[in-house]
Amino acid sequence: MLKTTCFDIWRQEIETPRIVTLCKELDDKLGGGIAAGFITEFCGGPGCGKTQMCFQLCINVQFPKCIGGLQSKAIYLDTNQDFSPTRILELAVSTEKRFQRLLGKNSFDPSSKCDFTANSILAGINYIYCENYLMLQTAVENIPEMVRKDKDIKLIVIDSFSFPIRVIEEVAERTGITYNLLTILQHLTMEYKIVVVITNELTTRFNDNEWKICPALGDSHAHKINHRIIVSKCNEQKYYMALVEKSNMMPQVAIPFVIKHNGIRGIS
Amino acid sequence: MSANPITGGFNTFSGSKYNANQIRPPVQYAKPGPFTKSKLLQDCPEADIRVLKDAAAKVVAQPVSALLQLSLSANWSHITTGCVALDRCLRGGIVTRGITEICGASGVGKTQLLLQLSLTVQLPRELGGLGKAVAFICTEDTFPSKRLFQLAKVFEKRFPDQKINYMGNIYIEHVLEADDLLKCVGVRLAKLMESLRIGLIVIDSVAAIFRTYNNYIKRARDMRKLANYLLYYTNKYQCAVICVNQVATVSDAAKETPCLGLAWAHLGRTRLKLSKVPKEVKINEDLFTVRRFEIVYSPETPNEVAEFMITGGGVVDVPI
Repeated sequence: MLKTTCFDIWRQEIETPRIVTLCKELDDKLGGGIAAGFITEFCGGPGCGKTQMCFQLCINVQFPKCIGGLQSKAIYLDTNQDFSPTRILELAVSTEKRFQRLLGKNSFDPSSKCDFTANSILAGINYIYCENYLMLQTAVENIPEMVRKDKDIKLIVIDSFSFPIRVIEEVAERTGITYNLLTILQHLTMEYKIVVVITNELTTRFNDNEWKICPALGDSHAHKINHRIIVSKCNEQKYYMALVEKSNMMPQVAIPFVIKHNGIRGIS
Repeated sequence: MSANPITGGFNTFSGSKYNANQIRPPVQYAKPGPFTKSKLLQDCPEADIRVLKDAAAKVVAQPVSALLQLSLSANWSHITTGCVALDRCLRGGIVTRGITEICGASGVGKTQLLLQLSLTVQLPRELGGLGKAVAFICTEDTFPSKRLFQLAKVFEKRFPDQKINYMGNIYIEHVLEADDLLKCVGVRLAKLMESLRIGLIVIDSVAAIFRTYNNYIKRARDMRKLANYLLYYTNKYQCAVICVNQVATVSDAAKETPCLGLAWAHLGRTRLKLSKVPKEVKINEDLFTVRRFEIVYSPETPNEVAEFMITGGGVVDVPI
């Protein structure tokens, strides 16, 4: 007990697998991308880019090792039917094109086989639709088994995490279920070095005699998650904003990004 | 067609046809079961509980990885709007997944678009429909059957080979209060979905029902309950759901904001906004106001805008 030093953990942290978001400024601030070993939450209003970010990460986790990616697979748990296979196909096709252009420009080691096509990208995303919180619980409890069978899985996305839980009327029950799910996910991230991304909604809360807009699921949930990125949309300027609100590695910072036909990109 | 233009020729699903008392709602919010609180499994060894959970996972939470097939599957079909510009915006039409919200000011053309969709959904797949019927729930005015009759005639001329009884495939119900709406959607609609092939569920409008609430917490709860019923149907029966919302001017900066707040906004998958444009088009001595169709948010399409008009022939493109 107490054999590990901070130095050892720092060494591990540098080598932790990370998934890029393709918004360069956000990736730089995050130390290379969304890190494994933590639960990262994307929180925001409807139409602010949470689901699009999830799609982008499902593609980016599959980047071949020859270009510095993780070459791994994803599990996508959909609870509110926001998933769109046609959008994923659109992203996959333009990602394949970009990869082919990259291959053409540089000479890669031909022995490192990179099968990175739109079809392989689609095949690398395992989709599960969870109709209610019981199915979500079942699916999450089954993930360790799935990961044991397929060692390539390095990303779990739950979109949205709050949707099936807010149905529960009793707050104590809600907290209990949230706590259970997050505990299982935390064990997963640490034991298998997996990236866990969940999405959350916004709600209004009455605080100090005024209604404020804040993330849903309350304070107990906010304590359990490791990183929280609040996304919002700036309508007039036609870009989105990612505010890193909670993180143990960086200060609060707001980073703008755009969503194009070929995915999430930064603003140069 | 019988003489009464309001009810004649229509089937309604309230009252005589279906015995509402015998139906259990399809979605039951199960109390936390054997995995959390029940005494039944408290003495069960950990390994046995694991076996039970694995078995449950095999049934309910199986991953699907053939996403290409998924994208073409019935769960993500499109219903054409009958208008080229709108279909281009939507990449094919209204998706049969999640709740599609259409919001806009009074008189902008929401109901007209719904009537047109109620007809296009009945067309066969080759023509952009689903070959299925419609469940139409009115909460504001009575159903505009005269206008639907006019549009049905237009469709018969447009597709002379299709012998579809357009008016007979639209099932209408009027509800005025929230409790009645929840019973209608949770109980009576369940039976209708089971016995007929319904491709489109319309609620015109949800705003009228929920704007009368004083208790916002109860309102959020009831809206969520409604949404969960509807999402159960879209998933099980591969149908589209359209809910109509109103708009209100909140402040000078926020003109024409959709009503019902964040709680409702988070329940929808796609939000479409209709508005009037200060532009008119003249066709053969008639003046038509141009309307604007905007995709406020959608998982598969960016923020796009299109223009359309409403003529005797329905929702049509603006002539170039």
